[in-house]
Amino acid sequence: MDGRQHHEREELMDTSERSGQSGENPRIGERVDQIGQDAQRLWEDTRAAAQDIGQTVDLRGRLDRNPYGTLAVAFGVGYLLGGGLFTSTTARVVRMGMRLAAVPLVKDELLHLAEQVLDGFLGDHEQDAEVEGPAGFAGHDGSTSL
Amino acid sequence: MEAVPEPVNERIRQAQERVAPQLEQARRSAADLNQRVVTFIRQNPGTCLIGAVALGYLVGRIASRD
Repeated sequence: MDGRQHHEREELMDTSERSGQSGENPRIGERVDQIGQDAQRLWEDTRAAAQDIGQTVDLRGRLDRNPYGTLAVAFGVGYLLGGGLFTSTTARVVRMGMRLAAVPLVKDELLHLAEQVLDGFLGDHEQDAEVEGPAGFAGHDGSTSL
Repeated sequence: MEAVPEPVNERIRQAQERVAPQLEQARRSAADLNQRVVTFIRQNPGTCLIGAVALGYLVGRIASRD
């Protein structure tokens, strides 16, 4: 610390002692003003950044367009935050999801197979009805009975 | 006398006619419920999002204990 700074400090202390209030010091006032301005600028920057993030994510728009999907994403974020990523439950859910994802691929084959089974089932019943039909009529008519 | 067996497709048609009104009612109820849920989500987005995150967190915590 050089002599000039020491002298300034002594003057500052004298001024404070004379006034009896340290807030009247113009240098401290300037600093307070500067801190206030910095804080205001920081607050405005933070608010602008939050608005930018909000516009980029567009949470409200996403929720309007796809409410269930957005809630599912929120649920997934919570699930990850809860530490559920590398668990057996996650592995089970992933396996089930892969099976469900494979259903559309084999859906046409399954429908074709079901149609064939149903056609065969209905065909057997029609044949049975045709075979039993004349006997029923014979029994009803009584003309061919022994 | 042996009765002629009723064709299976006729039975299926009758069953379908019996069940059709109930299915239609269930479909309408489901559509109404869906509309109400979506409206609630759109009117309370913050609550629903925070609730979903909280629920996911709880499930994640429970899953991580296993």
